[in-house]
Amino acid sequence: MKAIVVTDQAAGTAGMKLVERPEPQAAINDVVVQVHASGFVPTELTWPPTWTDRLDRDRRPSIPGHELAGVVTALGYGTTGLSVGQRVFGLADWYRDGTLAEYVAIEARNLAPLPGDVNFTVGASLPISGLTAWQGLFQHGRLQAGQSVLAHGAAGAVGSMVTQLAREAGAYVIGTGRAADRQKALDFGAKEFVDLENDALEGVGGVDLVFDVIGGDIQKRSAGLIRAGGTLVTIVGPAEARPADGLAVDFVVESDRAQLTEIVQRVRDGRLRTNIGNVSALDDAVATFNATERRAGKTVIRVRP
Amino acid sequence: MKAIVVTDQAAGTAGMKLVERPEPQAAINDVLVQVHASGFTSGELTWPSTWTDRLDRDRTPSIPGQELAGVVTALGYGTTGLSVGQRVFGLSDSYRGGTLAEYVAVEAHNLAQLPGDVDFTVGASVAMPGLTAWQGLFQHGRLQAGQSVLAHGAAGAVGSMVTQLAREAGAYVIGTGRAPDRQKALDFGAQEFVDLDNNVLEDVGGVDLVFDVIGGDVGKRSAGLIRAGGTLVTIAGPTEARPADGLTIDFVLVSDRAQLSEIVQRVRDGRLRTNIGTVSTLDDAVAAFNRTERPKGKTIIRVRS
Repeated sequence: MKAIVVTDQAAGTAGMKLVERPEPQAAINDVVVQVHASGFVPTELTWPPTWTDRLDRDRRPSIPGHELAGVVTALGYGTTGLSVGQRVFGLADWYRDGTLAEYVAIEARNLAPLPGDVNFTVGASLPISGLTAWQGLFQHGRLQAGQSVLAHGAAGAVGSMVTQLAREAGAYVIGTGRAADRQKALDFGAKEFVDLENDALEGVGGVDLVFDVIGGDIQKRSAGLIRAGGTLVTIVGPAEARPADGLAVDFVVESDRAQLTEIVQRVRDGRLRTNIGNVSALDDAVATFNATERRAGKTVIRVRP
Repeated sequence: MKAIVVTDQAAGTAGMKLVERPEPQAAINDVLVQVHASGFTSGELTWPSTWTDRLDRDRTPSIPGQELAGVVTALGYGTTGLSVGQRVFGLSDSYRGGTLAEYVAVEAHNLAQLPGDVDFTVGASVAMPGLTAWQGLFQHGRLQAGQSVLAHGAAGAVGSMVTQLAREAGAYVIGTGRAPDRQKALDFGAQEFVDLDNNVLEDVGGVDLVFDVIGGDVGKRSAGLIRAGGTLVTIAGPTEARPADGLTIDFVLVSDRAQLSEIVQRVRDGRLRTNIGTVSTLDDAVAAFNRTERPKGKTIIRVRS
């Protein structure tokens, strides 16, 4: 099959190569999925699981890309809950080969059915950003209606999901970003917008939940805004800052069938809008990931047209 | 750390050796658990996942044992939901290092909290039979109150859980086994018992659900007893046996935190009795697994006393 592989961590996206690889086999409780659309996050290339397995053994050449939407073509020994021919979407295991390929083997529990009226491109754009926002807001942040949320990067892939899901849950959302992101953040449902380069972050007053996607100084200053009993949720690694009287939770997103189903239902009925930018073919993917201009929205690779 | 390893599939349990191994490291979303009690199923030594990883690469020396109860001693990068010092129980990944060892690294979502009033030995004994029975009856068999269940091996590790959970759910349970198992099966809640060596299986009439742990001829004959719309659920692997008007589902269990919590709650309040036979130390474990007499109940290795 055709697949994109990486072998050299220092090379970054410039080291991506489109090659021929053997088709993966379904392990116990796996399915094999024919990938129709794939999503890739550039930071994957800095993550240990892209380069080594859980026993810390070299696993190169590795196939990056961990979001997918496609069709099940085979079941592993003992696999239940999904059928051959079923449309699915989800998040592949970080320690296994990914989705920038014609086929991927993946544990069935990491996938959910993709309804027939949701496009594969849309399906592949949702898992990381949707699950990250869902888990940060509801599982780790325990968000309640009436609370306030500071959503960093509110026009970005994760931040736009955070903004929309928090609004739907009845929260008051203050978005942040660069000046050029203001209108987009407000369109996603933010009630206020803080331009991190020109406005004073401290001007927002107290909030119940900070959803941090930036870290560093912004994280520290955001922690200072959290009210008693509030939470700093972050996806940029162990938190350096803690609210004076509250929790800091750092987490890595995990796939979850029930949550994927909640998310895609919201896309179908219009409560969630996706933020798709460029759509490229697998043959053009390496060039697309190496383009230099700042991308608006998420790049999705359409593996099958 | 001390651990039991296997390197030779043909040797069976005679090939088990107690050796010194490096302590495992917690990967992303893992916890490291200090094992207090471990459960091992002899079938493990015939599973491909004991000998190779998901890419089909040799992973010997492998540490067998999939069930565990113990205490969390470290969290991996990004791990949430469990804390250091917490008592936990559940299943390790069958493709990774097992629990016949002083420490094991496991994905946090494969574990649940073990309440303070449930012994580690009990915790390690309920994970696999409890999840197998739960998933077979409720997820795959869609059991309803008032239906009838044919529970094969009703005095065994899985069958005794099937019998108890089905009875609690309002089903009529017909247990099977060998003649000496009769009283035990009835004590676990079976309303009838079929001695597979001396009674005629076909005399039980129609049933809604067969829980097969045996396969072969018994599996085939059981399929013939299933009423229209009923289900044959089996853990004995893919089978040709099919009800005339119903489903056959073969499955391999998947660890599930919510289901583990349901199961342990039933152990606490007396609705579920475990079926523990011999309890040995890790030093005596190889000898315990190589005894020739038929074990009564599940063997548990108490790694820490």
